Amino acid sequence: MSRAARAGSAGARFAGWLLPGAVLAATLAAWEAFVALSGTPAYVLPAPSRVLRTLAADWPVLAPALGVTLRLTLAGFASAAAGGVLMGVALTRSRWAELAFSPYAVILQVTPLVAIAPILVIYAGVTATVYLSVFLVAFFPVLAATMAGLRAADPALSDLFRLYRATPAQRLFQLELPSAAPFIAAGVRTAGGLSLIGAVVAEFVAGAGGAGSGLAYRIVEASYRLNVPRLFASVLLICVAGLLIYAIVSVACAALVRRWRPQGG
Amino acid sequence: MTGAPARPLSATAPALVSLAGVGKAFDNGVVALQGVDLAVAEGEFLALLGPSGCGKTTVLRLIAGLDEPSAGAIAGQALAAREGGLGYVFQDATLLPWANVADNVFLPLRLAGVARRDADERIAAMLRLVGIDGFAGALPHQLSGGMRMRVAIARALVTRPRLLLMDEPFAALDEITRFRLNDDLLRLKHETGCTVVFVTHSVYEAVYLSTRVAVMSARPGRILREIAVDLPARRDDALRRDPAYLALCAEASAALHAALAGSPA
Repeated sequence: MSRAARAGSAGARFAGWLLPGAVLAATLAAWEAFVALSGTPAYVLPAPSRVLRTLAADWPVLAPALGVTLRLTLAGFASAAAGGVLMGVALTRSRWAELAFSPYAVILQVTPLVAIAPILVIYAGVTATVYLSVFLVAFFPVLAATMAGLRAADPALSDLFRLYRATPAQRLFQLELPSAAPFIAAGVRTAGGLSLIGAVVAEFVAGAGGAGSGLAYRIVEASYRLNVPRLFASVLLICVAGLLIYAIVSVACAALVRRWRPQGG
Repeated sequence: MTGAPARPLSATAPALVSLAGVGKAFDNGVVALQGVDLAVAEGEFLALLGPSGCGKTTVLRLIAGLDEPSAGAIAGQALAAREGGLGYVFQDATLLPWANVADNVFLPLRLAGVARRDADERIAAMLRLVGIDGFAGALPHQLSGGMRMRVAIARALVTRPRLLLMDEPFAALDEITRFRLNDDLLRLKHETGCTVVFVTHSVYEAVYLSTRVAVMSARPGRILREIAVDLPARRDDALRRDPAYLALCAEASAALHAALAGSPA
């Protein structure tokens, strides 16, 4: 890449932060001005400053709720990532296992989580329902990506391993899993984005209140009580949490597969 | 039968590998080889020359044990890819994209259970041999096509094979790079003393490198003609203008044209 092109991409990166930031600032300013000038009451539309004040004031209520939601999200996500990779390996080891189980993976994926969650609540209880819901939405992308990745190993490299009499374990750990790594990383990134959605949907459906309830329940509660500033504050919080999860997972995945570049050029 | 060798096979050196009446039909009904008789003598450089799709690669794969013949017999196939066995260089370098040069060269030893610290010296020696010492830590995508091929050759030679199988290894390289690699390959062959079977569709490359050229017919492939290359063992660029070299090229070229006669271009 030429020096000019590199400078251009640095400029593009800078603009990539600056432009959305400018859009955000302009939108918030217009919103604030509109609310102030029109005299709209906070229970109809709270100004951004009011949302931030509410967030600070309600922090003792919202922070523990966010903690509950994040803990279950991370637990479900981690189990789904590990489970998806393990299941992907298992299903690609045996043609019979794949024939027996892959239809169920598809069925689980195409059935909307909102439809399954009420059933889960009956048998698993609220906390486990949230955990299981996260697992269900995050599992499939990792499984599908792992299976596709394990099969994507270069056939010539596969011949080379055969030529050198590689054992099945050597083939898995030194050829197939490394070949699958970029695929798995992409699947995990998708799963990371979905897992918070899974948690929020499950909390909405489970709808249990009390001290141990998650952030989504606070949103439902605020909505019933027409506590619109807290509603906005909760949504802001969950949005920031989602962004953080996405950013952390993306950075971690990118770091993991930094070496994985296609040959050529 | 018309496919019988035109000259008697080299009778002085014992055959390392011999194919007798070998045929190969694939499951899709394609008959790749029919009645192939070929003996590879210890220490020779045999070029397999033939039109594209004539089954040259299939011959190599059969010798390597990557495929099984559907007719005939192969002696010496037991030369498995282990210490002193055989090395295989594919059309592409087929390196592990996530592993650096040294780790790629280490792969055959690693698969054989050799510890890395016991292999360091030999890896370094191999990299020197193929002229890429100083690039041990580079990743494949950071290297040119010619250098990647050098890594592939180092990997094939690291087990000190008696037999080196090469499948059009330089076909994708530009001419200057190919000429340099041709000269380096001849030097490597003299230094290691291994036997080489080299598949190519270039008449000039076949004659320049080999001590014997076997010309194959169009599919179904068989050995149409064998040409002894009685040129000095020490070869360099001056040979490319040598009348004896050019006469052999003309002979091989005529045989190749005869191989193509009657088949659609």
